[in-house]
Amino acid sequence: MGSSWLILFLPLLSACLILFTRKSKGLSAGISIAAVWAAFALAAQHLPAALEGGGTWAISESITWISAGEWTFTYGYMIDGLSLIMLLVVTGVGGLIHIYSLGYMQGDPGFSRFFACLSLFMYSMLGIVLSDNFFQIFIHWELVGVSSYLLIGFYYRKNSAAEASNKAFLTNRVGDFGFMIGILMLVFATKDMMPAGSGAGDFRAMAAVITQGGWLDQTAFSVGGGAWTLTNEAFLWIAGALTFMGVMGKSAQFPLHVWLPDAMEGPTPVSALIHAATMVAAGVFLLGRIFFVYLPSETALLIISCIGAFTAFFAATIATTQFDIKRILAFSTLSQLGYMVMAMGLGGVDVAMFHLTTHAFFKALLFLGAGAVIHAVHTNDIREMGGLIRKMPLTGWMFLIGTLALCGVPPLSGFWSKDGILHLTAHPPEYANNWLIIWLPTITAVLTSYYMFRLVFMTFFGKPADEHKYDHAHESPVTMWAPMAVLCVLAVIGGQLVGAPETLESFRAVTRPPGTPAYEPIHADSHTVLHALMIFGIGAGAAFIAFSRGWVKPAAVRKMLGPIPKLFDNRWYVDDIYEWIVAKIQQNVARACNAFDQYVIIGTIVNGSAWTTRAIGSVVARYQTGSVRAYALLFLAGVAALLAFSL
Amino acid sequence: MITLEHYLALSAMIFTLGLCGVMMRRNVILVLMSIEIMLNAANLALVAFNKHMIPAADGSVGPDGQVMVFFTIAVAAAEVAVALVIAMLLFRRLDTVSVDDVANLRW
Amino acid sequence: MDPVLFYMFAAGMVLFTLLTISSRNPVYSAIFMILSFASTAGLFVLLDAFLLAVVEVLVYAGAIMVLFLFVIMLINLRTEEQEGLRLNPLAILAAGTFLALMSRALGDLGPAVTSLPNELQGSPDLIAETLFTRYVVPFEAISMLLLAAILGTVVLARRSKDA
Repeated sequence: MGSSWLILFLPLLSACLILFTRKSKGLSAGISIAAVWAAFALAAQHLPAALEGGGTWAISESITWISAGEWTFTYGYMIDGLSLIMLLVVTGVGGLIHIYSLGYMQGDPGFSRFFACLSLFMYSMLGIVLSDNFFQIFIHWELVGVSSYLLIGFYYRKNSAAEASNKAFLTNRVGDFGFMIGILMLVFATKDMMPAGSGAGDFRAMAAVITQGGWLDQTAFSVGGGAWTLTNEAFLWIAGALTFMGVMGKSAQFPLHVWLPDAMEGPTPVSALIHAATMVAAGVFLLGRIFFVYLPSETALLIISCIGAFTAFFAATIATTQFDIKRILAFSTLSQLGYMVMAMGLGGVDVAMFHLTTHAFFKALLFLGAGAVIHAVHTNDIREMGGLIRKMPLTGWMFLIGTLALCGVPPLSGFWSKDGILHLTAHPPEYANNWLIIWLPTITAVLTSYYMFRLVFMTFFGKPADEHKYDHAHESPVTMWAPMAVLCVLAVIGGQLVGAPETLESFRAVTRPPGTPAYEPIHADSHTVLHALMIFGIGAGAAFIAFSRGWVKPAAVRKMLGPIPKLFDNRWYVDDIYEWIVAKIQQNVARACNAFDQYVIIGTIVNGSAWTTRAIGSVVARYQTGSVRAYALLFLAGVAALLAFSL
Repeated sequence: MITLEHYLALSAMIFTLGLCGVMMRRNVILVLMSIEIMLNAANLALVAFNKHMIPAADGSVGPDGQVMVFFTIAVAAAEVAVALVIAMLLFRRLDTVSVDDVANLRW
Repeated sequence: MDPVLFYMFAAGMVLFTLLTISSRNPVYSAIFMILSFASTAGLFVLLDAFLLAVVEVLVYAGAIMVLFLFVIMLINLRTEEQEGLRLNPLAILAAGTFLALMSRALGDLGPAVTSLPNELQGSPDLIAETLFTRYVVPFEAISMLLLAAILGTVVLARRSKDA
């Protein structure tokens, strides 16, 4: 039994143990933190071997879980380059956030419960990363959804939190429905060719089947004796699109994005960990893991990249009008996720994973910083803040660095990964050569700079809007700014570390699945740097003009743009549409079903049969007159009937 | 020639008469008598069948029908005895022998 | 000789039965019934069932009817005021239907019987031989039945203790 099993089970063990140590806060936190960092260490031990081995390195183990006839379901782990990167990100950033929570959740009555839920989440997430087959990943997919539900609804007494956690779970469920069908379709299509003895849905076995020559042209199934056939190729892209629904749900792509902004009801460490760095990235990771499904079908890749691009743009527009600091960051996350998904769709698996990593660093940093600010001034609304950099210099400057990283300013980490993606969109593969892919990401980048600097200017610079709150503000304790500092360092040098050509090569070799088309990696040449600085300049400049100097009043611009700001304000009315659908359509369907149940099933069939029986009974009972002679007559009638019948 | 059909027709008629007696008389004793008439008709039929059976291989005809009648008579006797006792008890209890007055087992 | 005797006994039987069920006086009914049984005995003789004819008279007419008369006396049955046989149309219809059906049934005779009589022996030794060999089990059963009837009658007819 390899030590890597511990990576998976230590957090689970921690979650179970905390059940018993609820009273002791220190012990609960200690167990949880220890489990996470132990997992990190166990994962890190593989790093040298991975870097040496390149794209083909992998270690795995699995045990048979259910064996039923010709189906064998296994539970196991597979660590290759892709999952190793993800492991390090999840456990590393997760570990830092665990430490941050020590400070942030001080004094909360649910302290131990929080750490138990965090440990449960770690187990679920690590399960996704380590899974080696479809069914196991689906189980952990759902587990992550449950953990997210528990953590979003952590302040369960608040109505809004409870509703938000429901919304998250339900939206995820919709995505998972498509996911499940997609999985079943894929397993069905490949099951005949799977090598004997491999577990059901095993990734490597299925990849081998799909990529072997000629499989695409085989018939998946036909209807009417050949009248209408579906080749494996068509089957594959349909299954791929359905599986992508799971990604849409988990990584909050349009139109299943509605849960992410509301998920900010959870405590800030939760927002940082789950909804910035790890869980929402699970979708991106999944795409990388099952890229062999999408590689042969351009239709699926086109769908993915378009949805990704649109989501990025769409979220950025909404972020420009929000006033809640966490919501702005949430929409920013949505936007960056869109970038990652789009990159995946364009075949840049390694670039997407790179951006995932850097995004984890600076987005977690930003969220932790926001948490510190909220902790200090007791409000989420940026209109009530201002000038905080004087009161909280450490937090403020780190936040600023994080923002610069997000906006893609060289030489910070964000520059390397984001511009890698932008480079990809400038020279897209054949099938994705449309305006959506070429222009939207760049426009979105400008918007990103704009809304982030709007946030920075309104929060940290300028005159304080609320004197009382301003006076109250203070710097956060060590347990809170230390993890932020580590993340800050990573946000600065992380890009260099990985993005410098030599290390990028090994990174790419490790994360890129075999068969993906190669493309030119970015160099930090003057052209690219200029491009990045220009984007940053336009966006930040606009924010500077409006919010720092006040030369242009935002209200005036709003009036000028007419109905468009209103659209952004209301999140493009998507939530309202969903509400309408639920209220008008779903509720009425439910009512109709209820009526059917009441009147047809209960009323007619159940009550009706009872009534009929009683009616027949009372008719027959009238013959019980008690009169002997009547009975004699009836006997005779009966015998006569029998006689007539038998003759 | 008196054939089997004659006897059977007679038996049927007697049986029907007994039936009418059962259905149309109010007195318990008379009803019981009518039942006896019906049994009697059945006995007649049995004996008639016995007389007109096809003989066995060696030409003999066993008196099986008559033995059956024996049994019927015995059963009829037993049944009448008990029935009359019940009728008597009924009279003692209700002071009437009309069947229409004992309609307690009703819905 | 045979047809005459048959028709005579048959007519008697039908007549007496009719009178039995339509008399107003129960004693008259009993007497007519005895006469009916006597006619039946005559028919039995015509059918060569000699023992049975005697048994019929002894048991049926002698014992059962006497029992009836005893009971009639015991419960002091009077002559009924109204007409004894009340014609009930429904009952007549049912009986008529029944008669029709029975005639139809009895008309279709199977291969086991012929319309012509055969030689029959109705002497006691023949009957006894059959009764005590082939039908010995029903015989024993009948004795049990009679025992039960006796016991039942005795128990039922007892006056209750507190009366």
